[in-house]
Amino acid sequence: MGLSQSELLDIADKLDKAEATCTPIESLVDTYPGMEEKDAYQIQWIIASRALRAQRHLVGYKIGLTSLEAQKHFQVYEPDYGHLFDSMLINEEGEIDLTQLIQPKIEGEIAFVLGRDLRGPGITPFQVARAVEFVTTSFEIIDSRIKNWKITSKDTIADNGSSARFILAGQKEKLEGLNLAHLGLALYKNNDVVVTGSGGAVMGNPLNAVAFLANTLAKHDRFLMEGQVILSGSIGGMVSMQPGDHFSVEIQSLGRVSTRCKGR
Amino acid sequence: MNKQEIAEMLRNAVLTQTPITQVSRNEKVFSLTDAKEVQAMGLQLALEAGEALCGYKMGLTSKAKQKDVNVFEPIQGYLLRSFEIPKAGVVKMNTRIHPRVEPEVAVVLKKDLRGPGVTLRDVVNALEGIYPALEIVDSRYENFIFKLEDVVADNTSASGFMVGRVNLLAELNSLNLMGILVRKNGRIVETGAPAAVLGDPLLSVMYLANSLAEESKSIPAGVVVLTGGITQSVSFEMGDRIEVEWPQEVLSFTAE
Repeated sequence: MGLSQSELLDIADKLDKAEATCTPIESLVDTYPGMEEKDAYQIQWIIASRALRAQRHLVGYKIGLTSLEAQKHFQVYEPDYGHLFDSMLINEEGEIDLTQLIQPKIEGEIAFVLGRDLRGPGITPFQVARAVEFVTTSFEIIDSRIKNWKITSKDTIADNGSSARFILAGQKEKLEGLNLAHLGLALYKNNDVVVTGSGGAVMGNPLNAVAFLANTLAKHDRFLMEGQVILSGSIGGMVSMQPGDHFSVEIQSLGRVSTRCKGR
Repeated sequence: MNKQEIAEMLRNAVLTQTPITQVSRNEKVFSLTDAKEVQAMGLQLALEAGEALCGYKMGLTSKAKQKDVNVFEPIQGYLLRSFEIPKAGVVKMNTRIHPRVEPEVAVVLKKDLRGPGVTLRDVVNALEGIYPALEIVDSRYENFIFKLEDVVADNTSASGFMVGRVNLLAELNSLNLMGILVRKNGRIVETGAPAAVLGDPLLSVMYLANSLAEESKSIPAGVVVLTGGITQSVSFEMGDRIEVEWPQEVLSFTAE
């Protein structure tokens, strides 16, 4: 049945307000049991178009639900995506201000920057590889605007893939000669290794995730543009963050990036 | 029950594939020292039965594994020749209770490493080879649930291992971030990197050398040291196909 236009606008308002005031809201699916996946994406797009009107710039996308573990958890066997705006980018060596976030978690990912447009449908991982300008190590900081992370996949889609901040490493590597599936990752929290993984955790190979994104955007007449950043999906899982915590993540051949949490 | 009886009970559990109740649940006092003695007695029983010692294994060296069993310090066990699984092999289910597999780094030394005071540099200087490996763990306790003392007495759940052919020594600098995939029947179920083992699996060897020194023993040249699980352990059933994919080599087996 789905939701009415006024309900969609209403939910977008609530999510915007939750983010602006750092006050989480109840699960959308609990409040609006009729919500469908397409409603959730419409809500995300309403929020994204408001951001554009507020002079923020779309710099790329994040892909989520890319691991078998996460898909099993949500009982949804397809990835999702969210929008990345310039306001979410933290520069290398920058700090994460936790006072602006609700219940953040951090994860390590392979980030892609495109050297040319990618327009689906029918995009293969090989076409993705040809369009990639460089890959690098990245942090994504996710932060659900839903209370206690009690989310379904529809909640997180409406909530921009729970995305909040991202950081890219300084190193930039060409794809040639790299097998992304076998690049190992180690995430350090206060100098202890707390997560490891390998690129294959992302749909067998992160190139598959980018192809999925290009083809999914095509269904709505959109495409990936030269220069856009794509965070391809969590490798190994997420870690919660507290003020004073120091994090670094390193991926084989792609370099390392570090950050510190301040606040509260 | 005295320690010798506990050792015999655990060996019997291996031989009959019958899980037992945790020792710590039945014994009022069962210390870590007691548990180590039970493990040594178990080794003695195996040697008397004609088995041969061929190496050591480290356990609970990764945060994931520590979380798995809720125990937060590394432990060690021994490897018997009979544990070795032929390459591209078969893992027999009828000699095991509820086995699980985990990818590991195996280390072989070219000279004895005798503690105390062994440093990481000493380990590096003693290296003959570093190999992709996998370990089969199979707790002799019901439901794979145990306390630290229980698992130490049970030879840290050691049950089987496979060591690859490719020596990674020349790639030592990139070892910690080699990306490893574990597939079960073709699907990726775990991924990880050797950094999961204490940040550097060679630290595991250092720890073992210094720990053996407390019993006036060394790590002999040529034995296999399994440095610790890189991912959470993956359970498997009869008929399952397991593949542990390193960038350089795939180790695989079928459970029969």
